[in-house]
Amino acid sequence: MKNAFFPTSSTKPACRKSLPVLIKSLRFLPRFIARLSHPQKKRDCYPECSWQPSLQKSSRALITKGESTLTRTRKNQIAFRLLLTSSLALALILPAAYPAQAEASLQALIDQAAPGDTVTIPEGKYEGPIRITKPLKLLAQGKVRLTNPSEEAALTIAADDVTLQGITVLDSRINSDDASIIVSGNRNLLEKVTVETMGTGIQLRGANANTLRNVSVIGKVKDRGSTSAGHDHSAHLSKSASKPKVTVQAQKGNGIDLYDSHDNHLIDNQVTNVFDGIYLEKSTGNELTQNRVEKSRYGYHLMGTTQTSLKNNTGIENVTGAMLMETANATVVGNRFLKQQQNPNSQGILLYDVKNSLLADNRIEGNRVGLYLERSSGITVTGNRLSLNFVGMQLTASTGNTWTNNQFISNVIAAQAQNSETDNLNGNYWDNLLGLDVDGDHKSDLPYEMNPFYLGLTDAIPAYQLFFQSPGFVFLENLFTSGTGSPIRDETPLMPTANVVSAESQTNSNWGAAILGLILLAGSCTFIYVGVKKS
Amino acid sequence: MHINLIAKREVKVGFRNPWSYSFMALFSLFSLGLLIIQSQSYMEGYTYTTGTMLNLILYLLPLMTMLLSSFSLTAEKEEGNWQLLSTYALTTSSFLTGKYVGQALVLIAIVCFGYGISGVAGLVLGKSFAVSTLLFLLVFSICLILLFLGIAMVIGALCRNRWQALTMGVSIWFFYILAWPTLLISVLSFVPYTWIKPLLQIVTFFNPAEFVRIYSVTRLGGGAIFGPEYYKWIYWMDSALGDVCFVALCLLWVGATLWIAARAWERR
Repeated sequence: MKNAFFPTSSTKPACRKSLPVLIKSLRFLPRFIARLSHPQKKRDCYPECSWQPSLQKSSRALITKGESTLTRTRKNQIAFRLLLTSSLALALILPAAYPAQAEASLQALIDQAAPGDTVTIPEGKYEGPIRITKPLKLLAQGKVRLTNPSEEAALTIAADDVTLQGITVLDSRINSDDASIIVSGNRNLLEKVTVETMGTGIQLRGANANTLRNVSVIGKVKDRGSTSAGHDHSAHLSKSASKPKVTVQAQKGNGIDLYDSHDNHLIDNQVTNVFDGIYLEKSTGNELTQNRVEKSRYGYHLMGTTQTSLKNNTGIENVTGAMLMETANATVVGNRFLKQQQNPNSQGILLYDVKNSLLADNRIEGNRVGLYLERSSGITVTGNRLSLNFVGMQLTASTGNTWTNNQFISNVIAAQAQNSETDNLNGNYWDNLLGLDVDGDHKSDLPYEMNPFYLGLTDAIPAYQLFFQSPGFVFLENLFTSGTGSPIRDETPLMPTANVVSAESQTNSNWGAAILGLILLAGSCTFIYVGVKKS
Repeated sequence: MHINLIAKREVKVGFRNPWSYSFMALFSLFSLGLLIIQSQSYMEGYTYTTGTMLNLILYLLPLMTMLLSSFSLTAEKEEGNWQLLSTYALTTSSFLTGKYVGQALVLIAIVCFGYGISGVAGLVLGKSFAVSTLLFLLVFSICLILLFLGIAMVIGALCRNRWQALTMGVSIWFFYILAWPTLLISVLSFVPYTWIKPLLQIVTFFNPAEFVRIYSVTRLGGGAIFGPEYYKWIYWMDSALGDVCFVALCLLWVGATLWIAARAWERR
């Protein structure tokens, strides 16, 4: 009955919801009351409008009489409606007031605090959206969980020098442009924050010199199946429906997303199952240290950045570990990129149009392609260990790079190069080198040549990738390379030295294999004996 | 029943054949070589070592299989055994199936002996195979043997004597193993671009060395290296259905080659 007279749709959930939602719904009240005091605007919808046909054929007196009845009924109605409104408002405010004290107090706590205060958030569940607009220190005491029933970001930090510690954000909005946490101020610190999101975890927008330490972002979007139901239009519809049945496919967002944000420090963060683990665009001077990204598309995606430093980070089982594009002066040191091999487009590190950067001491292991360079120049690659990749390194259209002291170990193919020239490729270790050291300087006097044939062929016709390491193809490749001096070659490759070899050889006596061998041996011997003897 | 008799006789003759023992020695040596290769490096998944080992086996085993078994068939003709057997109520298909089974047992015994030696030698040298590696290589080798044995039957049925069989065996080996990519790349350069991939896929089913290799690499987790072009193929191959289809394909291949061999044998 009450709801029938109260046309705003948002009031009903507000009965159970927190104060901000209630305030939002109360905005409709003045408009409603205004409408009550001018009911003639909506005349045609009232039941008493049925007298109108009689009005046309009757005299003036009748009309005045009619008007007077009308005004009387209207007055009654207004009185009735005012009564209803007040009771309704009471009914709204009273139940909302009780949970508001327990749950919705987080925003209130923040609002009450003076700039520079330390606010301790007691253990419990809170609801977003929360907005921080002044320098505060927010410390969670025990388990603080922030859920987000709204369509906005769960938490927005639009201030400088905010510290946020120990909070867990649970965000179930899908396909939203806003991340669960948005930071747009400077020098903020986010520490021990956990974000479980259906979209992007944390966005830094025009935010500088912030520190994110020990933040973990967990993407909750399951990998897409074959059925991709729904599109944007149906998403729009489901919003207005009273009970949205989620048929829309949620798209993964990025873990930590930096845009136009400079000199930030990202330390010890963990990102799992998102689109791009840590994404940087148009940002300068950010430092990423000891982060770990797993099971995402790109682990670290640098897009048009300068002076970025990636140190001691880890990328495991992503499509591509680190993707550096249109980037300059990046420092990629001491990272580990492991097992990027499931996807046919996988790489450990991919560099596209990168200038003047350093790749040093990385461990690139078990990837489809360990290190891929395209259109890059001025890259110094030194001291990296590329092992167990299907292809250790691929070079395409890259010139003027320096390669020294890298180790290529047990890759199915160590390195391939095409349309590339290099100024300096010296002193790397290639485990499949047939080297010859005459003068005893631990460097081979025979060069190591990279083969352009496979890359050239598959670049023209990708279907021929099926011949990868086919015995006949290896044969063909050797035919094509013998004699032709490849422009990419290591003039002084390292000979196997004691420390390299000891790192490789993992000798172990395996009883299982021996027993199996014994069984096979005994089985075949008796079989042969019996077979020969039988007449 | 005839199949059983023929197979038993084949095993007996096979193990009295000095060629079998020379191949056994060669394969034992070869598998010891593999043991030393693998001991220098990592063996888990698709690596340089596993790739090299697969290729070495692909070089040796098909040739060994085709020579040994086609010789055994042509010997029946040369030595007049077939004329003698023809006097019995024996169909060509059961004769050839018996020969197939017998030869398969002989070859598998040779391969088992070779891997058995290297398994035991691994313990002695302290550089052992992993059990999974040994089993993987064994299964891979047995697959190759069974498939190329079918081709050997066709060769044996077509050729009149050992010299013909040798020529044909070596040329088929060269065609399937060494020249395959070269020939395909040159032939496919004449067809429209969009045909290349489907043609290549179809043609691959006609080369047992190729489809066993691709299947093995995929099972080793290296399927992604064949690129986005074959993503669906590889994904499907890596599933349980892929295993079933692989076995079905192998059976189909063996059945088809035996059928062709029987027809060819009867025509002679």
